[in-house]
Amino acid sequence: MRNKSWVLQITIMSVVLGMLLAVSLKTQQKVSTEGGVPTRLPELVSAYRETKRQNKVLNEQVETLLQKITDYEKQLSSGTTAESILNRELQDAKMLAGTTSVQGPGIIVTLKDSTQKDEADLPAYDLIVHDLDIRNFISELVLAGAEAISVNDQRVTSRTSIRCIGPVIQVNSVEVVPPYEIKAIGDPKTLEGALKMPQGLVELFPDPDMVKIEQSDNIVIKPFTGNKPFKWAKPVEQ
Amino acid sequence: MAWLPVVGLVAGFLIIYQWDVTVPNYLASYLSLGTLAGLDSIFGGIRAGIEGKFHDDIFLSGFAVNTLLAAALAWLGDQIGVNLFLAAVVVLGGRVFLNLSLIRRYWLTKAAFSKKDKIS
Repeated sequence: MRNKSWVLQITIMSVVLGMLLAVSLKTQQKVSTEGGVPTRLPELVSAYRETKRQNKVLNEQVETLLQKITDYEKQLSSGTTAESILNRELQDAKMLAGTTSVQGPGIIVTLKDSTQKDEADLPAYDLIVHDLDIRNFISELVLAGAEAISVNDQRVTSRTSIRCIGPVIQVNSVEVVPPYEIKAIGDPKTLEGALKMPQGLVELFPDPDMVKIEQSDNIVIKPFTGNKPFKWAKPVEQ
Repeated sequence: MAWLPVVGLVAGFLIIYQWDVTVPNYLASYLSLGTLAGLDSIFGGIRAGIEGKFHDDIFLSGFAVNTLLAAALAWLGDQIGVNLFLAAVVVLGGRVFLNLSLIRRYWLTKAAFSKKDKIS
């Protein structure tokens, strides 16, 4: 009798162990579907912060180096007229390409998601800022004569993409987060008027708090700091 | 009689598996460790039973205390920055394998003896 009683007790505890296994398995399935890494989270957070900090420092280095290049070009061209003409053309080309810092009068447009609640006449889709909104604003500003534009300090160049990847918007393949600050250099009145015209972009937002437009006498727009060499396109040889 | 614990294991598993019972993500690793400690207790119990040294109070308290203590120690280790989780996995895992080998040895010996009995 005693011989059999231990099997029975182990059986009872096996039931408990089976339950534990089931909860463990379910939890692990949940963790893997959510993509979470429960035990390694603190390390990931610190690694992310460190990478972000390094990224910022390197970006600042790129900016100072770009400025140095411009300075050297100016020094080199201080001699003859031919050189100074060449340099002026070079600086114009760089401004057009967006690889140099520029400053001047313009406007700062701030777009942010609405804080209002989702209702029948205000669907949630209209209450958040989409990549489409940013593209529309940039097109409108360019049409109104903006000469340089950046979104959250990401310079808009001829090869800029603005696209939402899941819940975030990427400009130049770099994540930008709300509030989206669009800086544009140009005639402040014309730029603001273009955005605020009747049936214009600003009026399309259901909540007026989502858009804020500020005029400024001096806006500094940072250069494009990425590296995008031309792989396929070549000048036409004559 | 030997298949009873296996039936119990499967039954317990199926009962809970139907429900969507989970714990928060940050507790997942501690729960896994507790499960491993439970596994160790079960195999330890089977071995003790085979050797005729089974005590119900030791087995029942061992199962409960080992399971909770393994998880608690791993948690404490995480709090003070020592990876006790790994230590627990090594110790418990090692014991599971040791007990398994002893159980296997016992059964093989028994099978060999019964074969001899038949022949003679």
